[in-house]
Amino acid sequence: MGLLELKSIKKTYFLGSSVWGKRKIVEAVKNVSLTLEEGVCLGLVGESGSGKSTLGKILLGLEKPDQGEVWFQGRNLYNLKAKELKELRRNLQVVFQDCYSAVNPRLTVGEIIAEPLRNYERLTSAQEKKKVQEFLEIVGLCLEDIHKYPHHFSGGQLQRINIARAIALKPKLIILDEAVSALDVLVQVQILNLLAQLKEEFQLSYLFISHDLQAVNYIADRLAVMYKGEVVERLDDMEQLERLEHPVSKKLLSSVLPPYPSGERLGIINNMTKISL
Amino acid sequence: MLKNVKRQLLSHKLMMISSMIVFFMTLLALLAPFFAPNDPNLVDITHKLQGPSSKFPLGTDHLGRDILSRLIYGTRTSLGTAFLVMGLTMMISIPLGIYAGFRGGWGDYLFMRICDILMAFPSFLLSLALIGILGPGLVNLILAMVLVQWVFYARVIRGMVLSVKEQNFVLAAKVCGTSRLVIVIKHILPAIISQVAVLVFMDIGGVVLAISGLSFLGLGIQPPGAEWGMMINDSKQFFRNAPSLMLYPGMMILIVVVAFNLFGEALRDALDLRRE
Repeated sequence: MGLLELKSIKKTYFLGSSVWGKRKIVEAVKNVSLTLEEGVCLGLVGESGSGKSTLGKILLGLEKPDQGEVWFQGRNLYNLKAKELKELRRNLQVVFQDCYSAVNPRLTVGEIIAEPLRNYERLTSAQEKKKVQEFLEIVGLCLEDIHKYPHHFSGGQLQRINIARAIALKPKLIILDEAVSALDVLVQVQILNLLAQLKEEFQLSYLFISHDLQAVNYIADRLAVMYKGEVVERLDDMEQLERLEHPVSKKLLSSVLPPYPSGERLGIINNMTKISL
Repeated sequence: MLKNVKRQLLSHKLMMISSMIVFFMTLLALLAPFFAPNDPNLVDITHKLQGPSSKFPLGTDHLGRDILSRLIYGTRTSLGTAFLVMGLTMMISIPLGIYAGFRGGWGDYLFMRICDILMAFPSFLLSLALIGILGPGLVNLILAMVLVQWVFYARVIRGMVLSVKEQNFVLAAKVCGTSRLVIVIKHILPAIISQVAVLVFMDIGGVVLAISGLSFLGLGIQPPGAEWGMMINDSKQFFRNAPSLMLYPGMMILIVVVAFNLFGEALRDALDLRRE
């Protein structure tokens, strides 16, 4: 049994007025089953609108699926008492794509990172400060940043703050919902390196949702390709990336920009792994 | 942020003037006994309908009462009542709007239908009907206005909450295990409170106008209390001989309503809510 198991998840949205019958039906997720083992980073790729982020919200317990079950650590996420859910959430955290809207602009960095701690642990303010500073250091920020507000930071730094908040409770699984997509390439690599390092340090598992196959290839151990709400292809070994067969997978593969425009497209993807900062 | 607000308020002449008037009016209302030269309710028939003099700077009304003092005490009645009405309205609207917007579901649906029904009537007419049922008087006036108004504000606040609730930082807080109550207090309320403040200040002029209107009709503040709308009503029979009796309270209403509207707009621009 995996850490996280999705069993034939289905989610449909109804748009528009329901009274006059003119509603539009959007099947965001149809019949998705996935398993994520402990210590693994699963990359979930797909075009925008393929249902990746909806799936992310469903398995975070934020959006109830119409059908199907989400099992996390052997418990059904949508069939729990509020107290049990809270205890389970401790091990399930998230980093969103838009790092600017993911932090409350009215709180200081210290308060942002301390939020999960306050919900689960009873700490004195001195202990709390010490712990927050510890996490700031882990994600590579200065200790003085604790009193600053989000608008003082760049996108990459904010994403580090978001990561610090996500790891503050030492969770088992972190959903990275396009966590690096909004950042420029150099910062992306830094954040990906940080994530890889944290994965080792805290024995984390990741679900890395992205449309960017290059970034996924850099960090993920396994791959699932989503298209129009369904998982169309899986890959257990990232070395075999070129063997992807589904047209959508091929399209995603070919959209990876080569660092040398004249060079071969596919051969170069693996070069990314050699970049390190 | 407060520094920014201050700078914006000072940067425009109109804003500066309007906020000065608002400040002065509030001061006038708070310190009415200090500013008023005479007792506003002292009847002296021998001095009725007099022109301006050193004892009565703006003259006297048909019962010989000092008009200036009555205008000053009227500030207290009008502004005090308006703020009370707004305060009570907010005490209902903020919790209900937040509840409906944040929880959604059946409670929200029911709330929206009640809004639809109540908002189908013109609000002034509904207040009139309510006072008709409750009977005239200050308390009933406040009650009637609050009972009619809260719907509108609760609905607007619900809309604000809906837009904040889907922001990632609220979702992140949920994932962090923050309880609903704490999310509301720490994340949602601070995000909407400045917009609510602007709403209150922009509409307080309208409330002053409504109170004066209802008092003019004899449904609000009862004699001998000083209130602008009632002063206009009192003096309408002497319109030909002493038009200034109607002019002064009318001017006061005009100034207060315009000043508060401009102040509300200035506050909105200062907090830059449209860009946020």
